[in-house]
Amino acid sequence: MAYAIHLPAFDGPFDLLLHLIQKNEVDIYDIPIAEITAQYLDYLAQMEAMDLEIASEFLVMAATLLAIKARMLLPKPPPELAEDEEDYDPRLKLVRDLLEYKRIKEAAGELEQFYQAQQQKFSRPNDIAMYEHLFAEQNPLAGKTLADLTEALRPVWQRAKAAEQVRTIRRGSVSVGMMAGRLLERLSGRPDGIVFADLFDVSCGRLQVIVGFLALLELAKVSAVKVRQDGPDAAIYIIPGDLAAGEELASAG
Amino acid sequence: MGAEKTRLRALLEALLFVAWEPLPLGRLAEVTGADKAAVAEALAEIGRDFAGCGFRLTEIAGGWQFLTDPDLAPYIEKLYNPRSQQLSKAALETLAIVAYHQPVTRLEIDNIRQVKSDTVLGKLLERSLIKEVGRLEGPGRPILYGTTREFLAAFGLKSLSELPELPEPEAAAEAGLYDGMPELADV
Repeated sequence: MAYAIHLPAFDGPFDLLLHLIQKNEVDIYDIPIAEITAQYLDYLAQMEAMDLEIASEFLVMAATLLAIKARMLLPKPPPELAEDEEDYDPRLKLVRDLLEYKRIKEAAGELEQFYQAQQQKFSRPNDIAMYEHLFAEQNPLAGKTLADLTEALRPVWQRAKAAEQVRTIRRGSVSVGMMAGRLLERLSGRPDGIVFADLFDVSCGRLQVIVGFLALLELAKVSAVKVRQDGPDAAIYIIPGDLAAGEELASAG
Repeated sequence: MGAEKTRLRALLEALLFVAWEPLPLGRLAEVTGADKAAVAEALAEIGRDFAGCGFRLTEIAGGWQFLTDPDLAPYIEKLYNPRSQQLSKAALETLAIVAYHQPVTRLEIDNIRQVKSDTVLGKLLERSLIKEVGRLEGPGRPILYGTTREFLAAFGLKSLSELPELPEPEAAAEAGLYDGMPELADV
């Protein structure tokens, strides 16, 4: 049967530990470690049962508590052999840290009172945008009409019109078909083929080189040309193949 | 002389009326062109005159500001329903550590709370309640955090010296720790 337990939320392992110490009304300087550890672990088990994720800090503290519990079972070393004060009492560091946390927790509670009190006092809202608007620089166009503006623009407009040079820029047109035709033409008298690097006339611009390369690929696809390279770094030769097969492509463009 | 005083008072009242933040004495002197002593005197007078009003001249966060009478808060809430921004327990604890131990690193905060504080710190930074005040000269040069003027304003403090005393570490009893080992029954 599903049932719900109300499990108070704790901000951290110290929060939980302090709660347990207060609930059990035990002396913080003489914490019954076994009892508190059992209750601490019990709380974690409840969290687990409720499928709540247990933050790693809680597990670290569980390990610390168990380590202290174990140490307290060991016989106390004679004072002259004690290396540090924790040999006297393994709880010492925990107690100090807890006390420091307790101070801060109490201070936080006090600060909260301050905060709540201050929340009851209101000031003018931060409305910097309004003030910026109020004190903005004067509008340099204040009082001018649309007619004033067009009148001012007219001479500029006329000068601009006079200075305008009309020119039509023709778009260079290069088609794949056209370039295919040129390639076929060049290859027709060269049964030995042409070195790839020399195939294109670079002085005609990049567009022709690109379209020419596309045309070459198309021609290779229909076997109108063959491509041969004798070794990895050797020159690539473009050799005429079934040139007639390329005619259709050339005539299309 | 009397007219000049009256004018300074009026001027200060106007400045404080439009301001949305505490105005430091120095700034008021700078804007009004009066000397600080005269401004302080005028402020004291304004403070007395507004004592019974719906809003009072309040010294806060290193400056002066008109703030409403806290008793009237319910009516302001009725009028505008301003959202109050709550601070979580974790945020208050972290803020308390920063306030009392500043400048302080994230690691020191984590150690006292035994919880990772990076998310909380991020939120406090975002709300300008804390700020980065430098770096610790040491391994990793970790960021040092401190409180801001906004912190003072949010908590109604004139300055950090107005923070309530940190509760005494219960030092007297600590000595008792060495007296006896725990009884076997405790373990």
